[in-house]
Amino acid sequence: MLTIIGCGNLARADDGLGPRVAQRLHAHVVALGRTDVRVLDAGTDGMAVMFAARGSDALVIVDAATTGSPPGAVYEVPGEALARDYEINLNFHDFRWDHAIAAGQRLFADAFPRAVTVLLVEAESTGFSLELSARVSAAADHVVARIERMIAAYPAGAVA
Amino acid sequence: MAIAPAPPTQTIDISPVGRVEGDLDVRVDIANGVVVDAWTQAELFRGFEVILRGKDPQAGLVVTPRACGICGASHLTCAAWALDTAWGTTVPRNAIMARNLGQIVESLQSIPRHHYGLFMIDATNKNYAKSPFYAEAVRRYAPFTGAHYEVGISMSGRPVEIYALLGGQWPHSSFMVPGGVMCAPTLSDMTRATAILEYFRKNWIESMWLGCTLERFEQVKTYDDFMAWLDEKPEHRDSDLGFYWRMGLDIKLDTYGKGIGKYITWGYLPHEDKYQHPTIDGRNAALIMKSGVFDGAANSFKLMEQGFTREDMKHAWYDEEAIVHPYDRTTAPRQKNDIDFEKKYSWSTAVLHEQNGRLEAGPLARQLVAGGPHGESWQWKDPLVLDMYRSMGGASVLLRHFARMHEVIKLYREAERNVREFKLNDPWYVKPVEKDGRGWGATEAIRGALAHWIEIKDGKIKNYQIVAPTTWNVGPRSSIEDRGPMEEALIGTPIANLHDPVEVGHVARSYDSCLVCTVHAHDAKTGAELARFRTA
Repeated sequence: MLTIIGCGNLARADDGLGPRVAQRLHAHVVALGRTDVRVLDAGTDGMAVMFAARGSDALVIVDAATTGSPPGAVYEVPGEALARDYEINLNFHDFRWDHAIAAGQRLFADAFPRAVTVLLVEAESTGFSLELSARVSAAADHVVARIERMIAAYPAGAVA
Repeated sequence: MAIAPAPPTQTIDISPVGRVEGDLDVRVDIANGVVVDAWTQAELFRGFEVILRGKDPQAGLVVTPRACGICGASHLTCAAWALDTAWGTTVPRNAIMARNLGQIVESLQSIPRHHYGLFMIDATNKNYAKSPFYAEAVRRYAPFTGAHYEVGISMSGRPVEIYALLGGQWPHSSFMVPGGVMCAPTLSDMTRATAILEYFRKNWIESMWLGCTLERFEQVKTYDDFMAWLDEKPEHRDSDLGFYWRMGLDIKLDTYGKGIGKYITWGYLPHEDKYQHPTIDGRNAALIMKSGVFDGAANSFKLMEQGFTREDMKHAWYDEEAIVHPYDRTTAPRQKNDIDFEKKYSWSTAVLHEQNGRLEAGPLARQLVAGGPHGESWQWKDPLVLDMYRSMGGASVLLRHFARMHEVIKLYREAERNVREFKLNDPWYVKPVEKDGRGWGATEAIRGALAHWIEIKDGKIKNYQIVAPTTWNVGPRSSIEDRGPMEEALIGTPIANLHDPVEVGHVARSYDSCLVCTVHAHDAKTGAELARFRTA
């Protein structure tokens, strides 16, 4: 199983990139009739990423980023470069996909995908809006096309 | 005569609470090792009310579940019922149960997740190394390595698989819409849902949590019954519930975290045969779990009505009149938000009941109200937590978290009943007619009373207001300078180690506050660190 998960907040401008990409890819996968590919809009629930990825052999995560790069910049990063341990907090609302990668590998061991690819797009704005900015919208098209190629290559080709 | 000097007071600021990004910060004054004053600050402006102005009436269905990554189904429930009451829809029986079931499984998920993922991890703090229960707590609950940690966390992911059967995916499905639900589960979906529930009951509730059957625990009606149950068998004592109670008493979680002693629940889960023509005024008489306001000191119970809600902004960063009903709010955030404890210090308003003032929301409130004599004769009653409250002299960290965990049994029963009661060939949706007007939708998210108010004018949202459980609980002082529920609950908390005030964490976590769910854009790495991975 190839699992593709979009993360972010639909109501915060460019942070809605992940959910929007996931919604487009979901339609694509349904149209192809692919039952070996699962697409999830995880919103801001990092714990959902951990459970949804369990049992898959490959995982792709899509999220907006605020790294100080030019808006619309796209990064394709192996999961191990971003995974980090979760520090216990007041609640789980700040448990995110990077924690989910680390926690999922520890908790589920071999049942958690080893091949994790993260696609990040630099946000221009994370203010209160239901729209993506023009540059991030263009980057979303690029990310969708890239993941569609990954889907076409799966499972024969390497995902990452 | 010697006059004792006033004890020196130390002020410490804690983000117990917000180690990552400061969502909830707490300031406490400590004298003689005990908290003597407290201020809770919500540091994030969520802004959904601003986003929704002027949008299509149904935008709330898509936008508000994004208020929270964890309790999206609760927001979706409120958003849908708010439109149902505004438009005067008909909601078929199946749809009422599908909404309820979606929300129940979200809460079932949260119960073990909170217990194993957060609450019991505090029990492994070295502050408790002298407790005779400490070694066993570490064995069971240490993060990732504890014998029960993995089971508890994994188990929490199962109930929401039922949500995916109804809504296509978990989280963030918008399957609840005015007039019903956009789904039509099949018989095999229901068979699968039954199997998931049974798995959850057998492999966690009965085997690990209770150490007995649901039926046996349902006989526990009083504190005496509970203590007798605890001593009845080693399986009860050594269950995670038995262990929680015994260790909790040993580390004195029953001695602090009392709070303001007045409680609110909107009630939840409308009955499938009693709310097919939803109205604001008809809701109280249609609920399986009744609404209520309980005043512990006066020992009085009454129903809760939305018209009594007030938001007080004297100490909150809004440029609005001090005290207004949510329908009258304009959500005018103040641009300059310096922290000034004498003036304004939080993005949370102080929520009030017009007659009863500040109220605590959450599972404890629900379980206390469930013991009251008010409401309809057919509504769910459960005297246990109220009896414990009276027997133990009021609330505490121990009882507040117990109430949360105790709810798993009735939620499980109700989920089981819903799955059984669906009539799969009956309607799930009746197309509504849009119109202008006011609506209100409420429910109980796992962490407490949640409500949405909507006003529609000229086919667009004129005003949308959300009062979340955390708004009730972590609000700042109000116009009469009384402390908010969590501020008050912190008073009297003993602090053993000023550098690691785990006790403040216990109090804060007993409320399971939710503030951080806003922007989650990845920010752990810089562009320079990621440069070699750039592709476009």
